Amino acid sequence: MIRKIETSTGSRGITRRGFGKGALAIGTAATVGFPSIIRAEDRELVVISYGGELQEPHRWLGDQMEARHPGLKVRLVASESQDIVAQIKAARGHSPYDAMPNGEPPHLIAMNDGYIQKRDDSKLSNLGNVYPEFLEKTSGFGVPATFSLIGIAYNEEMVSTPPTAWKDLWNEEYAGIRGICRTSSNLGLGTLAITSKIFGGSESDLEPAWAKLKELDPIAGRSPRILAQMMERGEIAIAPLWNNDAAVAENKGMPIRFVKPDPGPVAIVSVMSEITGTRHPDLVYEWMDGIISQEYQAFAADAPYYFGVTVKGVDVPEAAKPYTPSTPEEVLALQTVDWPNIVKVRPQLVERFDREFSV
Amino acid sequence: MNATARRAARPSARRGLAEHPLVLAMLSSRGVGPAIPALAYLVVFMVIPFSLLFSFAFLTVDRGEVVPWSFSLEHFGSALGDYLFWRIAWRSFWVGALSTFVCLLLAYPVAYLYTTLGSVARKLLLVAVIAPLLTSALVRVYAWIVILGGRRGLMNTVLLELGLVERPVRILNTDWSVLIGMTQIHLPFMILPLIAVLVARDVEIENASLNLGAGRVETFFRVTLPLSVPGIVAGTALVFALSYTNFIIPQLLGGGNYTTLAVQVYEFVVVILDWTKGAVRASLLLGSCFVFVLLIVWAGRVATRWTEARLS
Repeated sequence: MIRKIETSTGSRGITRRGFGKGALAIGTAATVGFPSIIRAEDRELVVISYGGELQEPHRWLGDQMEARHPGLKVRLVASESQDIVAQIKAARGHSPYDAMPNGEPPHLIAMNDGYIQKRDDSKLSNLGNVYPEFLEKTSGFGVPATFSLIGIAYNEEMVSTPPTAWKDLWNEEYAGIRGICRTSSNLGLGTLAITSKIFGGSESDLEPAWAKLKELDPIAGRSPRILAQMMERGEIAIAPLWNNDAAVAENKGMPIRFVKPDPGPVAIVSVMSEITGTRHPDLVYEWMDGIISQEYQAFAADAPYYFGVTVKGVDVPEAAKPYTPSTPEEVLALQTVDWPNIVKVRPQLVERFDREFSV
Repeated sequence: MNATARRAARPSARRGLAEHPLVLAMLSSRGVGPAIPALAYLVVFMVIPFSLLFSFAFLTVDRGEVVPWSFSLEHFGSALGDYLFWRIAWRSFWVGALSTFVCLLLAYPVAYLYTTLGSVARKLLLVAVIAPLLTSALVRVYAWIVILGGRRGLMNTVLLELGLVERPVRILNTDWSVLIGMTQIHLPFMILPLIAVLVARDVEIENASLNLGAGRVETFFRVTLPLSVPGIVAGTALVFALSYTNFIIPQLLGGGNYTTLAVQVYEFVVVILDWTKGAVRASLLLGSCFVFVLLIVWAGRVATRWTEARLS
């Protein structure tokens, strides 16, 4: 009877036996209900990745690494790189992430601010496969994972005359159904840069681009993903877009088509880098080496992802040809951007977008 | 002496946390004593973060580090001298005020209806009012994207099917979609305080008004409405504060051409990585929100005094 009172009125006092029972109960609950607590003892590689289907190549690589290292968990976090950089900055050297892919603009920012580590070439057995032109873009930080194109995507049910050149975006036929992405994204910055170049400006003189983009009277998307969704829903019918997002939409059965507009689409390299303060530098190098392996590159280049290949010896799949350059002429036509010039004024460009399009 | 008896003999073992001298002293003391845990929580998780945020607005923060001896009022000066800030602040205020007004218009009849119902119907109505709060606001915002979005959205499909419009109308990514989202998501916060006040009102005063020859409409405007001023004030303050500082709704329903102060704070802190400018905007947003809420409460007090004077 007394024992019964003790157990049922546990709040009256904490005894050693009671404490032992409680600890046992918590331990059991943790084992059964919260396996992540137990797994915390194992190694976990946390890698920033893309959202949706575009994450699948990373998952494929992660599964391969998990198979090679029993107990290893490769966790992919789908997020915009800008959000991650802000978190890393707030963590002040205690980043919860180990590796991240960045387009060229955020790559330069992360490099300058010390959020990513310089590459040790001796730890990468596949580095010799990489095209030197892409390796140059990394400035000695990370490995060139893939490249993507900014071209023009359109909804073929709403657009009767498909565009063939960048200047076609300004055709009267597309009034009221044009979209662009905010300059907070690489897509928005790339659109701004190519507009400036085709209308007589440059990366250091973007005024012509602001004036011409204003003429578009566009509906803006907060991110490339949201812009693609706006096109899928029919809120816009034509917009500068990533080739990968257009490919995924088309693969889902949407009437979205992608063109590589004249004088050429903008190519942006994505660099996979080791984040400063990673707990698993060796695993990060293994991950980066996997990224520049021919197997991974072939997987990422195939349907429905169509990521651009950065290593030698991987053929562009037939299905990818509408989305990636497949001939020497197309490769030569690719437009590149002087990103260091753009990155220097990126904060002002983000603010300027609001001044031009949000008031 | 058995083990249980031995334990019973030990006074320390018999005393639980509730009998701890510190806890007893706290509970038996008057004034702030019982509130100490809550106050400590507020200090750690509200006062200190707000103080840090406010201090960042006067300092230069570079790559996550405060630059020593960088105190300056210039950051506030440049924000207040920027027309973009005022345009965006006006938009935040306008959408906050308008959605609060629409919420009041929609909430009052619901709250009034509640007071006229029987107990079962009251419970059902209360569940209907509270049920949306059980879902994340983010989920509800995404639901509005599905309803309002584009040519394939539910709303355009219905309008086109009924022949009410010839071509799809654009509502998503406009002021309208933000207003619709704010109103739907914040409506329960207006209804609940109104119910609390209307249920507690003295119905005899309304009966007296009717007996003295006033009509139902006149009784409503001259007796019921003034009596519900405390509920209107509470609901207005709550909904305005939530709408004025809301981030998710303008971010997702407003589109890329729509920026409010809360969205701009996010842009500065996360996208541009300029914590100083972000802290300036956040401080101005919170400070102005505090002032507006005080003004609402003050206006409510004036209205209540005026009502009491008229009724007495």
